[in-house]
Amino acid sequence: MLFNIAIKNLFGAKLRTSLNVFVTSISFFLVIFISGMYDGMREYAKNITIETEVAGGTYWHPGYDSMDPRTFEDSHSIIPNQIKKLIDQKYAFGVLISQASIYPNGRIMPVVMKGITSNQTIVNMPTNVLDQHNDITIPVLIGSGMAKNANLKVGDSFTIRWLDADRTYDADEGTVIHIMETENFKLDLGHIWIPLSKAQSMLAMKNQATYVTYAKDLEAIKDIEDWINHDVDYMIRDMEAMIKADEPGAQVMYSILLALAAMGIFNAQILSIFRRGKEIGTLMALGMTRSRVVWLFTLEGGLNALLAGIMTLILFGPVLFYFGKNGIPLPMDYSEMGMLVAKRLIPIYSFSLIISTTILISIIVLVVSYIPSRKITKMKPTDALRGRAAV
Amino acid sequence: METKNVINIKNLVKQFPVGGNYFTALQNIDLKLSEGEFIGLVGPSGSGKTTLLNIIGGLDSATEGSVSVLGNYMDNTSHNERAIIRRKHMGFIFQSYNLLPVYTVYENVELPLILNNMESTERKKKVTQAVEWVGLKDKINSKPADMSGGECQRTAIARAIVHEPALLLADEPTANLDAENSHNIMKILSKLNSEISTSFVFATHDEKIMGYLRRIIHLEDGKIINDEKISNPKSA
Repeated sequence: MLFNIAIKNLFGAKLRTSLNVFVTSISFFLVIFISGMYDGMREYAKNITIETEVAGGTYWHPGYDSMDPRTFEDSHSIIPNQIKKLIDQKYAFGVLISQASIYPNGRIMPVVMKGITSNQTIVNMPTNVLDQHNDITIPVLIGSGMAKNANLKVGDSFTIRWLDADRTYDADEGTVIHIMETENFKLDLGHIWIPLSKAQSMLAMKNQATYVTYAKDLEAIKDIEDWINHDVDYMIRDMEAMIKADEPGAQVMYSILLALAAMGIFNAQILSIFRRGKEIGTLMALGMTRSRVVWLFTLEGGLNALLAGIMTLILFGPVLFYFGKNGIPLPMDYSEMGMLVAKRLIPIYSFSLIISTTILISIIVLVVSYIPSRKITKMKPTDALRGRAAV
Repeated sequence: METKNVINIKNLVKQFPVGGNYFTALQNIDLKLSEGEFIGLVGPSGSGKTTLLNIIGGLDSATEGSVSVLGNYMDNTSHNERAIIRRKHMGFIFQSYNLLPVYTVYENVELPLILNNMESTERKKKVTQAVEWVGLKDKINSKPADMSGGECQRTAIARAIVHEPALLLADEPTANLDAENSHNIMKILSKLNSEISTSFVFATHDEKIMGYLRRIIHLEDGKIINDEKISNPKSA
């Protein structure tokens, strides 16, 4: 009986219902969208690192520490046979690291010179371009940030000076053959990329590498001599820790968003219910008990939330989907500040985000329907009939 | 043949708190109403007629005294029990109609039957009959916003009588209507009173409808100053 009356009330009051449902729907959308953006931003650093740098994990030379440039000089050796096989099968690629200096436009710049297997397809880097310039002494791939800092463009040549395995300084001319757009500043700022074979010959480190990155979902091999396997979880542990440390912040933001949404819904529902004080009085005069009136209005609130969910799906679903697929361009490049923030932010709408938001907003709607209707029914019916209900 | 008392009020006092004091709206009211009566509580504004009507209807409670309506002592009943008494045995007509604006005539009239859990086929029959009684058959799918004041009040009457209550309480039912509509409404109510055994109590100060009443109780400053039987009232 109450359900039929609630349905009749909802669909009878088209404008009132539309406004309430729209406000609730907007709240659904904003909470999911903004939280999705925040989650996307947090997850981005991790994803971009895996995509462009880490893939399935890496085998490190035992002396190598990516955070300590002083280890670079001595962290190289012949690639263990089993790992070499992976490279030959194109399941992995090697990187040989050395410190170097470049002299672009008469300036001196310390850089990290990295030789990389140029035909790799494991990480998202355009290393194949390094193979296309056999006529150039040292073909160099750099990122756009590096190009900007060193004032370099494609075709520019500069001197590279390095210390080889025999502790002898050598120098030769490098030429920029491609400037890549990458969102991972760790591949860009202060880095020059050259073919692995070229690096091995320049540094007199034939068949050697500092680390080898292997493809995703590849089973780790055991016979790697004294090299050390660091899987993807190890490689992104800092970022995972950062995300975990930021969890309270994310929860605070989610709570603020929900509170803002609740205020909007509260406003619309309170206004709507208190305007119906006379209607509540009439229902009580006709013999509806207080508890039934409260249930009727709470049920209307519940149906309101259900309709809002459907409206969100129809009205804002395509918007959420579009931004989830194409992302939102950010006005500035944060990589120059050493931050792994995407140039295009892609929101992530997790299942738990959608479900928890739906449940929480539905609870808010039910509560803000229950409280004012309960307050009105506690009034004398004569006062409710006169429309004297007040917040 | 013995007639049953529908209302039996003894020594009723009603006070409202005003600031730090109390305003006495009704004092020492004694009133009996028999089955099928057609009476008016008449008096100027502030005389206490609406308050008395609300107390009879269980919408308000007495400060002192006893109020028995249809055999139920209203001061000893809970809110829920009073709601059930209203739902099953009473009908209300309000000055400003109090129709639910989003409902059609049919749906407004149907509401008391839904609240009484009546079956839908039975409901349909009763609603159609009530709407025919008040002459609104052609407006059955209209909403209050599309109707005149007279039509709205007729809808309210249909809603009040559709479940054939034992007692119908009307608070200034003609106050918002012109003379022609007022007479039409009173004719309908008078006819209903003669056809069904419902007792009618009006709170009014509208001179136009006085002629239809069979008993007039004059109230002034919260007291009954005269209880007058009308020997030859107008009829439908």
